[in-house]
Amino acid sequence: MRYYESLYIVNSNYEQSRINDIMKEVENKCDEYKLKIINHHIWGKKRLAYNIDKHKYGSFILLNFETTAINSLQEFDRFMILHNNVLRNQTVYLDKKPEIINNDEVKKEDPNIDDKEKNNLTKEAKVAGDGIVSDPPAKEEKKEN
Amino acid sequence: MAFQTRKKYCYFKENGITEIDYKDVKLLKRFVTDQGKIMPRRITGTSSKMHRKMVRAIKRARNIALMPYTNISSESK
Repeated sequence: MRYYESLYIVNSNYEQSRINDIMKEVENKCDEYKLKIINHHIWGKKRLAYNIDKHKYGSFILLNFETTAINSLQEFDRFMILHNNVLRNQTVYLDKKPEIINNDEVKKEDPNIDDKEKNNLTKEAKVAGDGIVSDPPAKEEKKEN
Repeated sequence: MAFQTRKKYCYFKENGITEIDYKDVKLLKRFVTDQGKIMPRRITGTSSKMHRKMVRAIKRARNIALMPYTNISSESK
Protein backbone atom coordinates (compact mmCIF):
# COMPACT_ATOMS: atom_id res chain seq x y z
CA MET A 1 0.00 0.00 0.00
CA ARG A 2 1.27 3.44 -0.92
CA TYR A 3 0.53 6.65 0.91
CA TYR A 4 0.00 9.99 -0.79
CA GLU A 5 -0.57 13.57 0.26
CA SER A 6 -2.59 15.95 -1.84
CA LEU A 7 -2.65 19.67 -1.07
CA TYR A 8 -5.09 21.82 -3.00
CA ILE A 9 -6.04 25.48 -2.94
CA VAL A 10 -9.62 26.75 -2.99
CA ASN A 11 -10.80 30.34 -3.38
CA SER A 12 -10.55 32.01 0.06
CA ASN A 13 -13.73 34.04 -0.55
CA TYR A 14 -15.88 30.93 -0.34
CA GLU A 15 -17.98 30.36 2.77
CA GLN A 16 -17.36 27.39 5.02
CA SER A 17 -20.42 25.56 3.68
CA ARG A 18 -19.20 25.91 0.10
CA ILE A 19 -15.73 24.64 1.03
CA ASN A 20 -17.38 21.67 2.77
CA ASP A 21 -19.32 20.94 -0.43
CA ILE A 22 -16.10 20.94 -2.44
CA MET A 23 -14.46 18.65 0.12
CA LYS A 24 -17.42 16.27 -0.07
CA GLU A 25 -17.18 16.28 -3.85
CA VAL A 26 -13.48 15.36 -3.62
CA GLU A 27 -14.25 12.62 -1.09
CA ASN A 28 -16.91 11.14 -3.36
CA LYS A 29 -14.44 11.13 -6.21
CA CYS A 30 -11.88 9.41 -3.98
CA ASP A 31 -14.42 6.67 -3.23
CA GLU A 32 -15.11 6.31 -6.94
CA TYR A 33 -11.41 5.87 -7.69
CA LYS A 34 -10.95 3.58 -4.67
CA LEU A 35 -8.63 5.89 -2.77
CA LYS A 36 -8.85 5.27 0.96
CA ILE A 37 -8.90 8.62 2.78
CA ILE A 38 -6.80 8.92 5.96
CA ASN A 39 -7.01 12.67 6.66
CA HIS A 40 -8.99 15.42 5.00
CA HIS A 41 -9.06 18.82 6.64
CA ILE A 42 -8.60 22.54 6.03
CA TRP A 43 -4.96 23.43 6.61
CA GLY A 44 -5.60 27.17 6.73
CA LYS A 45 -6.14 30.37 4.86
CA LYS A 46 -2.85 31.77 3.67
CA ARG A 47 -1.45 34.47 1.46
CA LEU A 48 -0.16 32.99 -1.78
CA ALA A 49 3.47 33.62 -2.70
CA TYR A 50 2.29 34.68 -6.16
CA ASN A 51 -1.09 35.39 -7.69
CA ILE A 52 -3.03 32.44 -9.10
CA ASP A 53 -5.92 33.48 -11.36
CA LYS A 54 -5.69 36.97 -9.81
CA HIS A 55 -6.17 35.55 -6.29
CA LYS A 56 -3.83 36.74 -3.55
CA TYR A 57 -5.18 34.46 -0.80
CA GLY A 58 -6.28 30.86 -0.76
CA SER A 59 -7.72 28.19 1.51
CA PHE A 60 -5.34 25.24 1.66
CA ILE A 61 -6.94 21.82 2.09
CA LEU A 62 -4.87 18.78 2.98
CA LEU A 63 -5.84 15.27 1.90
CA ASN A 64 -3.98 12.10 2.87
CA PHE A 65 -4.95 8.84 1.24
CA GLU A 66 -3.67 5.37 0.44
CA THR A 67 -4.02 3.31 -2.71
CA THR A 68 -2.37 0.62 -4.77
CA ALA A 69 -3.80 1.59 -8.16
CA ILE A 70 -1.62 4.09 -10.00
CA ASN A 71 -4.11 4.51 -12.86
CA SER A 72 -6.78 5.81 -10.51
CA LEU A 73 -4.23 8.28 -9.15
CA GLN A 74 -3.76 9.77 -12.61
CA GLU A 75 -7.53 10.02 -13.06
CA PHE A 76 -7.87 11.71 -9.68
CA ASP A 77 -5.15 14.20 -10.63
CA ARG A 78 -6.97 14.89 -13.89
CA PHE A 79 -10.21 15.48 -11.95
CA MET A 80 -8.49 17.98 -9.66
CA ILE A 81 -6.94 19.87 -12.56
CA LEU A 82 -10.29 20.16 -14.35
CA HIS A 83 -12.18 21.15 -11.18
CA ASN A 84 -13.22 24.79 -11.53
CA ASN A 85 -13.09 25.60 -7.80
CA VAL A 86 -9.59 24.22 -7.25
CA LEU A 87 -6.97 26.86 -8.04
CA ARG A 88 -3.95 24.57 -7.74
CA ASN A 89 -3.28 21.04 -6.52
CA GLN A 90 -0.23 18.91 -5.84
CA THR A 91 -0.02 15.24 -4.95
CA VAL A 92 3.18 13.83 -3.48
CA TYR A 93 4.26 10.35 -2.44
CA LEU A 94 4.87 9.77 1.28
CA ASP A 95 7.49 7.41 2.67
CA LYS A 96 5.65 6.74 5.92
CA LYS A 97 2.03 6.37 6.89
CA PRO A 98 0.72 9.81 7.93
CA GLU A 99 -0.60 10.32 11.44
CA ILE A 100 -4.36 10.44 11.77
CA ILE A 101 -5.38 13.95 12.84
CA ASN A 102 -8.58 14.48 14.82
CA ASN A 103 -10.90 17.34 13.99
CA ASP A 104 -10.30 18.89 17.43
CA GLU A 105 -6.58 19.23 16.72
CA VAL A 106 -7.29 20.88 13.37
CA LYS A 107 -9.39 23.58 15.01
CA LYS A 108 -6.41 24.73 17.07
CA GLU A 109 -4.56 27.70 15.66
CA ASP A 110 -1.98 26.97 13.01
CA PRO A 111 1.48 27.96 14.33
CA ASN A 112 2.81 28.38 10.80
CA ILE A 113 0.70 31.47 10.18
CA ASP A 114 2.63 34.62 11.00
CA ASP A 115 1.12 37.37 13.15
CA LYS A 116 1.11 39.74 10.19
CA GLU A 117 -0.91 37.29 8.12
CA LYS A 118 -3.34 36.79 11.02
CA ASN A 119 -3.89 40.54 11.30
CA ASN A 120 -4.45 40.83 7.56
CA LEU A 121 -6.96 37.98 7.60
CA THR A 122 -8.92 39.39 10.57
CA LYS A 123 -9.03 42.87 9.03
CA GLU A 124 -10.37 41.48 5.76
CA ALA A 125 -12.91 39.34 7.59
CA LYS A 126 -14.24 42.43 9.34
CA VAL A 127 -14.56 44.27 6.05
CA ALA A 128 -16.24 41.38 4.25
CA GLY A 129 -18.54 40.45 7.17
CA ASP A 130 -19.92 37.01 8.08
CA GLY A 131 -16.36 35.77 8.58
CA ILE A 132 -15.79 35.53 4.86
CA VAL A 133 -12.25 36.41 3.96
CA SER A 134 -11.90 38.32 0.75
CA ASP A 135 -8.97 39.41 -1.32
CA PRO A 136 -7.84 42.92 -0.39
CA PRO A 137 -8.77 45.60 -2.92
CA ALA A 138 -6.15 46.17 -5.55
CA LYS A 139 -4.04 49.28 -5.16
CA GLU A 140 -4.96 52.09 -7.46
CA GLU A 141 -2.46 52.45 -10.20
CA LYS A 142 -0.55 55.66 -10.24
CA LYS A 143 -1.53 57.92 -13.01
CA GLU A 144 1.25 58.68 -15.39
CA ASN A 145 1.94 62.32 -15.85
CA MET B 1 47.57 38.37 7.58
CA ALA B 2 45.37 35.37 7.25
CA PHE B 3 41.60 35.65 7.53
CA GLN B 4 39.79 33.24 9.75
CA THR B 5 36.82 31.68 8.02
CA ARG B 6 33.76 30.55 9.95
CA LYS B 7 33.44 26.79 9.88
CA LYS B 8 30.44 25.66 7.86
CA TYR B 9 28.11 22.98 9.16
CA CYS B 10 25.04 21.14 7.97
CA TYR B 11 22.02 22.77 9.62
CA PHE B 12 19.92 19.61 9.28
CA LYS B 13 22.55 17.31 10.75
CA GLU B 14 23.13 19.72 13.63
CA ASN B 15 19.42 19.80 14.49
CA GLY B 16 18.75 16.13 13.84
CA ILE B 17 16.44 16.72 10.87
CA THR B 18 16.26 13.75 8.51
CA GLU B 19 13.12 14.50 6.50
CA ILE B 20 12.18 17.88 5.05
CA ASP B 21 8.51 18.74 4.59
CA TYR B 22 7.63 21.13 1.76
CA LYS B 23 4.94 22.70 3.96
CA ASP B 24 7.54 23.87 6.49
CA VAL B 25 8.12 27.23 4.83
CA LYS B 26 9.79 28.77 7.89
CA LEU B 27 12.63 26.24 7.63
CA LEU B 28 12.96 26.42 3.86
CA LYS B 29 13.17 30.23 3.86
CA ARG B 30 16.58 29.95 5.53
CA PHE B 31 17.98 28.43 2.36
CA VAL B 32 16.77 30.93 -0.23
CA THR B 33 18.04 34.42 -0.98
CA ASP B 34 15.96 37.60 -0.77
CA GLN B 35 15.31 37.19 -4.47
CA GLY B 36 13.90 33.73 -3.86
CA LYS B 37 16.81 31.82 -5.37
CA ILE B 38 18.04 28.59 -3.79
CA MET B 39 21.39 29.19 -2.09
CA PRO B 40 24.31 26.99 -3.18
CA ARG B 41 25.81 24.35 -0.94
CA ARG B 42 29.14 26.14 -0.74
CA ILE B 43 27.39 28.99 1.12
CA THR B 44 24.88 27.12 3.30
CA GLY B 45 27.24 24.25 4.14
CA THR B 46 24.50 21.61 4.02
CA SER B 47 25.43 18.03 3.21
CA SER B 48 24.91 16.81 -0.34
CA LYS B 49 22.14 14.43 0.64
CA MET B 50 20.16 16.99 2.61
CA HIS B 51 20.72 19.68 -0.01
CA ARG B 52 19.03 17.49 -2.62
CA LYS B 53 16.08 16.89 -0.27
CA MET B 54 15.88 20.59 0.52
CA VAL B 55 15.89 21.59 -3.16
CA ARG B 56 13.06 19.16 -3.87
CA ALA B 57 11.04 20.58 -0.94
CA ILE B 58 11.57 24.17 -2.11
CA LYS B 59 10.47 23.32 -5.64
CA ARG B 60 7.34 21.63 -4.31
CA ALA B 61 6.58 24.64 -2.11
CA ARG B 62 7.00 26.93 -5.13
CA ASN B 63 4.59 24.85 -7.20
CA ILE B 64 1.82 25.11 -4.60
CA ALA B 65 2.44 28.88 -4.08
CA LEU B 66 3.83 28.59 -0.56
CA MET B 67 7.13 30.07 -1.72
CA PRO B 68 7.86 32.49 -4.56
CA TYR B 69 9.74 31.58 -7.72
CA THR B 70 11.18 35.07 -7.64
CA ASN B 71 10.68 38.17 -5.51
CA ILE B 72 11.69 40.71 -8.15
CA SER B 73 8.20 41.28 -9.59
CA SER B 74 6.51 41.74 -6.20
CA GLU B 75 9.09 44.31 -5.08
CA SER B 76 8.85 46.40 -8.21
CA LYS B 77 4.99 46.64 -8.09
